[in-house]
Amino acid sequence: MDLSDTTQQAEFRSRARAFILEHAPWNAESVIRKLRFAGKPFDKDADWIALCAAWQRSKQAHGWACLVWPQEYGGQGLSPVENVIFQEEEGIFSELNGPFMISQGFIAPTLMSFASDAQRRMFLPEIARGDVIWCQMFSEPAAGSDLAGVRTRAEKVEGGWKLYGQKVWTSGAHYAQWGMALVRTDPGVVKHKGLSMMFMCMDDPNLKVRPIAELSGHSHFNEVFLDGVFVPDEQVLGAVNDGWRVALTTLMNERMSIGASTPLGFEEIFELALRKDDSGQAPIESEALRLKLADWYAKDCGIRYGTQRMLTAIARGGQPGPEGAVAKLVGASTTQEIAACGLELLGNRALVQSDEDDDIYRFQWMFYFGALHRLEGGTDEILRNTLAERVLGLPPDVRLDKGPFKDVPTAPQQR
Amino acid sequence: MDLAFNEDQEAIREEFRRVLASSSARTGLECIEAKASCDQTLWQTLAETGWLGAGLSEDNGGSDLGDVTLCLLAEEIGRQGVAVPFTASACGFATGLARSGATAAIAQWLPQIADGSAIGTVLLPSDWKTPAQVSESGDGQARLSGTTQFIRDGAASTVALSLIGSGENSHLVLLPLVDGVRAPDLERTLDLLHPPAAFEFDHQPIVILASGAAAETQWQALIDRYGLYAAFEQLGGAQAALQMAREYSLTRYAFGRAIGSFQALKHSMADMLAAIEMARSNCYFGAASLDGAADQLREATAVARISATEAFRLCARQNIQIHGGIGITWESDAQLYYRRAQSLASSPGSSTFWKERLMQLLIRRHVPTT
Repeated sequence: MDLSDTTQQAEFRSRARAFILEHAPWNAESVIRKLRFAGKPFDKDADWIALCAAWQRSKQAHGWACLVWPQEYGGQGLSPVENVIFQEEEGIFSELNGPFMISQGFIAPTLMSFASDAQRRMFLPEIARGDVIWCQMFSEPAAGSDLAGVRTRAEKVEGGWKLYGQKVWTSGAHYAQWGMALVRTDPGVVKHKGLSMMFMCMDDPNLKVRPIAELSGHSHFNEVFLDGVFVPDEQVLGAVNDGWRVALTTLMNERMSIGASTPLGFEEIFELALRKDDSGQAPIESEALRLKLADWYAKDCGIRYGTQRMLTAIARGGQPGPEGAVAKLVGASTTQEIAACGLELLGNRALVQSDEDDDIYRFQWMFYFGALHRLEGGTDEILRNTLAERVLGLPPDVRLDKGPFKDVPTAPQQR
Repeated sequence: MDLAFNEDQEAIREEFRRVLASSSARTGLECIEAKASCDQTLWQTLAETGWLGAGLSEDNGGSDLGDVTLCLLAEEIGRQGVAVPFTASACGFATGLARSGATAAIAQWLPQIADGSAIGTVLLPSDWKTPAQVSESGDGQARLSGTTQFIRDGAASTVALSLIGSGENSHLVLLPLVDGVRAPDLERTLDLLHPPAAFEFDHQPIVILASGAAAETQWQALIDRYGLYAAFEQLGGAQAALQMAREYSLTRYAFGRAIGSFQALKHSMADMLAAIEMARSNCYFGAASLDGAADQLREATAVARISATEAFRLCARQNIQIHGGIGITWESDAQLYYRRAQSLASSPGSSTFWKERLMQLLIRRHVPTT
């Protein structure tokens, strides 16, 4: 039990701090802080991407990008501990990693494990620089939590495959240059066996991206329609029909993706609670509110210290426990509660969206984000199943999808 | 940065677990039926094997295992659900008195704590029914008058630490709990394994360990350490309740399946696990803060107590729920966790006490951003 940095870590931290102090886009700090829950904080995506990309290139140029990647691919060959130290120091600017998170945290480790040497050398450095963004085409209208149920079909043609089907909830598909898709190459076998992982250029004329209008009124996710997109054989990752194993690698790549945790919104609600109104009263004078704040702060701490427990496990040569899944499960609904409380404290003036009023803006976005966050990257329910089955060793659900994929029921059966 | 117990500490845990699980430990029901204030046989074993002085220096008859190891021992006490006032005496009282610097009182009492002949506890302000008064008699002997509420583990305790008064008139005192004891019928107590008692003091001779600002400072650190040990006891209890629920759900069949295969129960147990993991992270951070600055420990303890209270309560309740009818019978150990989760939530210090303590600290520390 020791909270202090080692000499090396302290030295790393102070170098990181100096770099961030000198190079981070401090002139954009307040706008990022205002918009951290918005997901799409600028009027135009392009402005946001440009800001994010500039910070990414600056990190790359000074040796601070993709810290846990091997050096040959544009990383720094460091451990997750240094990655978290850097993100702690990066603070609010770590929000600028958003557009690269999928490429760097999920796609890149998959390429490292399954792509050819030449492909790795070609794609990974440009992902590290932030010059090229990839998207992950996994979910489909009928395959979300039940991911292995994807129905986008790949037909074998001379020299490759042609893809037909629809993907959905694809973050960043509208600005990604490349995409990685899980598709069905054999519907005649059980569902986990007939899948393959492939990647393709997103500007293929047979590929259409359509933004999804979300409840926030903005669009972060997309639908992607594939109508004969050609994928050459060499762009299949892993063996044909072994795509499920590749997908699991992508989804389970915790070591690469451990970073500073997603903010809960405690900072925001605490500031709001302390703010005095015209009569000199502050919401924090209410005991009922203080008790809720204390609960949320305890959750905020539990999530942050959980990250440190994961790093401890890795530093000792072990595997992290369930801390990541717990953080997401607890964090998402806590954010939803904090947002509701914030909007209630703001009262009727928060019934209308406002771009000028920072408080209203922040808590409305947090309100929208809370609902989304409980679904993305593993719903609350899927996470509970994972904890129950993988950690507690409870029996799996009774399943009706164990036969050949083409026979799996997809709608109410006629009796 | 390292947020876990080390190998040596884990080896100590194994050893302690063996002692607690040995044949000398009685089951909860045996203790209740013996109508004893605690499991005297196990207490004696813990004394003879040196565990009651685990946190004390060798000068005081202890084995000097350190404060962090005490955390882990408290967790095991919670996990095993034994009827001994270990956390109050060997953790809260012992470390509090050891750090007071009051050499005479230390020399007199700590060896007795280590050999089990004295059992210590700590009385928080909320444990007093009326504010206690400290006076001095003609012979220069400090005396205390006052009445306490029911004190957790009071029936077994023989000596206590408390803070009396405030500001310049505050005193950190050691008071023997020998006279004016009022203990209820054991079967009428909420936590059957930690029976309480109330005390009435009428010019009872006491020892003043510190006064004024020094007393305040010592006291705040004392209850922060004690609170953390209690949080570890809760963490252990929560894990035991989840384990009991899990095992039952795998052996009990309904509708042709183990009930643990039903998603409603799996999700309930996943939530128990999540609450435990949150509490564990916060407890570990507290253990790592034991040597840190006063404010850091204060924050860490409050946070650990808040999440450990939540975790133990949830696990104790859901353990009964998963057991169904058998869980609410007198014979089931599920009732013992349910009762203990509640008594530990109230003492030392209620959850409202720790939440307010945390918020006062955060408000005081807050620097408004411009």
